[in-house]
Amino acid sequence: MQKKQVELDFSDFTLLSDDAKKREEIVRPSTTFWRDFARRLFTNKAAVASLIVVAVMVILSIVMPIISPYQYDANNLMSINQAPSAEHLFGTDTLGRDLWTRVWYGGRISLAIGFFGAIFPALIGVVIGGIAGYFGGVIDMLIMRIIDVLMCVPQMVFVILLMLKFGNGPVAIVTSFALIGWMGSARNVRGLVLQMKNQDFVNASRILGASHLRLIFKHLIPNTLGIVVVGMTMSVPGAIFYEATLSILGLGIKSPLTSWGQLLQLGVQNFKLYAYQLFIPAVILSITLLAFNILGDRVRDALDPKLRN
Amino acid sequence: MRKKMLGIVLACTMAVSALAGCSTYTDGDPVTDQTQAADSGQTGTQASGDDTAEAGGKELTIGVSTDVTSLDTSVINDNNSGEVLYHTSSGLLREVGGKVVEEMAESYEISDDNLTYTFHLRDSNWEDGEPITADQFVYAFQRLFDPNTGSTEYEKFLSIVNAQEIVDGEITDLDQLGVKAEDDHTLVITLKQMSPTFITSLAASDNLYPLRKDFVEQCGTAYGTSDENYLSSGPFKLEAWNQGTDVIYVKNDQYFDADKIKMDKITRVVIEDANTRASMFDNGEIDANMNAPASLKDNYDENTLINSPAGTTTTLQINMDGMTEETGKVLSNVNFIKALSYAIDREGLNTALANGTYDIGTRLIDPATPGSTDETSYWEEYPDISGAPATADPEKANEYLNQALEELGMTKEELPRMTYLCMETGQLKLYAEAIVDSWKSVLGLDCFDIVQYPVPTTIQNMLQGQYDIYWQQNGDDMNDPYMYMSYWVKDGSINVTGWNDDTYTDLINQTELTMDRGERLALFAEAEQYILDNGPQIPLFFFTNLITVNPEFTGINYGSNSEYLYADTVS
Amino acid sequence: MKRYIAKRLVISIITIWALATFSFFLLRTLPGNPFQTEQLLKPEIQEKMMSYYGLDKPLLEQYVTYMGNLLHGDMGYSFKYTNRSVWDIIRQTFPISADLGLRSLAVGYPVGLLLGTIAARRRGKKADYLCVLISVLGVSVPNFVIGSLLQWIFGVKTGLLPIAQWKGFSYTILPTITLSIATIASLVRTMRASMLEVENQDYMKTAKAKGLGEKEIVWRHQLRNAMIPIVTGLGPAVATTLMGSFIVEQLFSIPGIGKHFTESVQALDYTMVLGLTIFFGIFLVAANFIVDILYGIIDPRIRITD
Repeated sequence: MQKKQVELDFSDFTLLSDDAKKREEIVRPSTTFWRDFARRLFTNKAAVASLIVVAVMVILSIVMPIISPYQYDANNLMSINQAPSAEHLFGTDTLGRDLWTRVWYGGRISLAIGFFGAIFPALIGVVIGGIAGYFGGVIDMLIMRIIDVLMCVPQMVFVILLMLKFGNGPVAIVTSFALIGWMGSARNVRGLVLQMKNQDFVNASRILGASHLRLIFKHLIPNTLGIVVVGMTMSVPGAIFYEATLSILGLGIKSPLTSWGQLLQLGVQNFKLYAYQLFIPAVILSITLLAFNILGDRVRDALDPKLRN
Repeated sequence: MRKKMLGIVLACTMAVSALAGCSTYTDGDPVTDQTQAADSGQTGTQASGDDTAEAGGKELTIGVSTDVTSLDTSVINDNNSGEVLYHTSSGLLREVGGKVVEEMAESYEISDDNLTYTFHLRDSNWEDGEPITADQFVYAFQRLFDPNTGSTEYEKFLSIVNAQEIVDGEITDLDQLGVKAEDDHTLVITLKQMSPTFITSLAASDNLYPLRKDFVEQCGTAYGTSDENYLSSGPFKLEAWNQGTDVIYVKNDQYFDADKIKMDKITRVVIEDANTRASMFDNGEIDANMNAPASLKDNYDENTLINSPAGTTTTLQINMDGMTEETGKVLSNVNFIKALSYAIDREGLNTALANGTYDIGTRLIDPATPGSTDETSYWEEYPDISGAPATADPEKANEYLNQALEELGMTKEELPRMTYLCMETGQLKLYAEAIVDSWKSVLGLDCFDIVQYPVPTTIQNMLQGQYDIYWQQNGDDMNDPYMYMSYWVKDGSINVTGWNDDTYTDLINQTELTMDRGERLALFAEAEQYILDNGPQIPLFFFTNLITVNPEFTGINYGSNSEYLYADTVS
Repeated sequence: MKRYIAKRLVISIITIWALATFSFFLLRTLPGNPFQTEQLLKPEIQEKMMSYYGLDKPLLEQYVTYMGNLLHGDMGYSFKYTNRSVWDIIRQTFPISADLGLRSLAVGYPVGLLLGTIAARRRGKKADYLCVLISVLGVSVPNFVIGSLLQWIFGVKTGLLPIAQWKGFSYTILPTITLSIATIASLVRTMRASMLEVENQDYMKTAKAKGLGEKEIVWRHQLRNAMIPIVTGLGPAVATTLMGSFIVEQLFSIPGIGKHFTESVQALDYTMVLGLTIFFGIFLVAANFIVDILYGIIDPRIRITD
């Protein structure tokens, strides 16, 4: 076909009016990644509700044992196994201890295990995954193989064996989680870093002379935080749940500390006679886990670029 | 296409496995039918038919918390295995309701020097019709001491001639053991030193049932590991051991006292979860719950409950050497120990944690210990022995504490932190928390750390002196105080308390020098009060075992272990 | 493909070896021994038993002996269940646990996938919220609480179903339901997310534009592609089910393998703990291996890029 030469002339065009100009404007105001995330999260009713529930649990756990007239470990053999009443909002247990105080004291331990049991593995995973993704090659292969091996280790078996060695304190439990729970986030971070490391903003930094360390920690990893945050929020309930399971098997937190898992274990023994001793901690635990799970779902949705609308 | 194939394959696998699952059911009946048919052929049982239920036989189902671990009489060391052997074997003597009764030994004599025991055996047969003879007992005794068997349960019988040497490997010819069969019905045991507890230990032991050498050698190391590798000689035949699920007994018509055995079939079902077991009892799925939870006691009336001593002495053991030098200084002060003891509210704890079922321990020797006559108990003969109050005595406790502090030259705040060690099992955690709390509220002492480990680790720590206060839960011999009291003699091998007292040791040694029970009990009484006043044991409780039984059944008891051989229906 | 399989195999073997070695040394460095039970055994007798079982030999020597035996398939004998071989105990109890596990997966997968699909297709509507709620409850309420409740309602109060043991079909109902809840919960979530992800793909829009009916769209296009992450999750799902069975077995008195694990750990029954750890490890490795192969079959991209 023959090419046709089009002759353009200024008079062929008319200036747009302001109205028309406005129509062409970018509809959305400009925003940063985190501001967008926050907006999407906090406008969602379910997310806000869950966040409030979590906050309430944390506050009650911190404050209640301090202001309560009862000590969590103070026995009162005169008033054992009392149902909830005005004096004891949640009743008392087999040794006459106030269950309200014990639930919130136990909450401290459970929530702490939850938070730290989610954060530490995530941190370890981020660092390892970042290194693996960035350096690639032999290092990457080595780390991926180690991950493959560890993923085939039966987790619960591993945790139980580790706890035999390190004792049963909250520190031991968190350490056990950290040692076996980092693989998930490591894999995710590695994948993202692999994608990102050849992008322009990284190349630019590299040309400007940034060291490996700086590239990894200042540029690449911060951009993976989205997925890491999702991972963490999702693993908090897992950690708390795990601790409860260990307690039921008789392997959880030891005296004098207590946790929701421990309260459940004590409650199960008496549940035919004093059902409230089981159900109250169970309900509190379930509500907390529910909140974390919903929050985790919403956080993930809020970070998902495909769901922006 | 590929994916579709995959989907179909997966679906089929699941379906097949779901169907194949049928074969993992643990219903014991098919086994029962087969073995019963075989047995009826061999022994010519009167009862017709394969299924006793059809023949209108009496059946009993009991629920327990733990399964049997082995059926090998020489090596077993737990109550559950002992229970099953008790009901399916005939030893020389039997213990029923705490009393010694003749079993295979129709009669026996003791020589004047108390060193020779002659047992005259009656006639009885194994389940396969072979007679039970004296040499089978010789074999059983030899096997117990034979180092190649690997048994841990020979201790009580080391007074037998050459027993110690055989155990140590110094003598390898087992026939040198002081147990001889003079003929098929006469068994002679020679001791190297007098043993006042020999007869009662023999009756109570589950490790000396007769063994058939031909059968045992044929089974090799597999002996006692399944129902096929076991031969019954007692009131019941072991029909089936469905490991992890149940044990099925069937009446043994070869038993010499078969007339006294009323039940045709007993099923011993293992249900670990206490609540589940209790629910099954309430539902009628089991006729007796042999380990009923004390907390549910009030749901049942008297006709259903049996609360018996469980032969366990529970104390707080003080390490008078202390885990460290500092703590040792404090703990060797007897007034300090008394202060700790008087601050504990034993009755309150019993009510709170055991629903009042335990016996309060204000003393050390088991309440079930019989006295010097058949009618009295040891406690009745020596009622004044006491080392602690049943309820807390805050006044006295603080008096003792102040005296101790004065003697030590310390104030409350200067006391070092002390370690309270206990095992991770059951309620021990609650007891620990309760006791430590009572020291806080009554004595104002907040210097105790509770430390818990799994059972083996805890015991290891205790044996190595890595504790200040230890929750000590000892099985004792309900017939005789010797076993428990001898633990605490000077340099006793499990006496890791730093208390090595000559006076006490002398008294205990003297109890082995006479066969007169009255004399021995007097010595024990003196020793008991002595150790309570000066020693490292703070008495707490004597555990009991609660059984709930459907009132339609009788004859189910707990002596030193569950007994149901004379079980019967009321109608 | 062969290279892929070979690589997975080598890694699997290394995993088992590492697990066995680690567990062996960890166990043996713990204080205490299998002969210290609540029946207090005198130290002299304990020592005799240690040497009887060869436990007083140098640790390295014991390790070599153990590994040598392991290669012949000999896991030794349990200390608690005298003279019963570890392998025998596993052989008797594992089929029951496997049965329970398979049943719960057979219930969990269809139900979970169905609810997940419904939730995705009816996104934002009541059905979606309901399914998600069920899912979230499933991971929030501990399974022993659910199990106890079910026991109480169906067993004690109404007597409809047996409370414990494993003697026939009716006995399997409550434990299966209890165990399957965790599977259902995670499946609903994964399936829903996966379906939604697939929904945004171009070929879905094409299908809709073509005018295909709902059923056709879901069956022919959406489901198949959404299944990929489900299949990869099969390995971990099997693992979780096995672990969850510890508690369910205890609650319903099912003579499976779970109770032996906690029991032997608490009693320091060395051979039993080691045997079980290795067995679980092999099982998990095998499960993951099969899943990896399946994944390779389903998704050709994996084979090429890995």
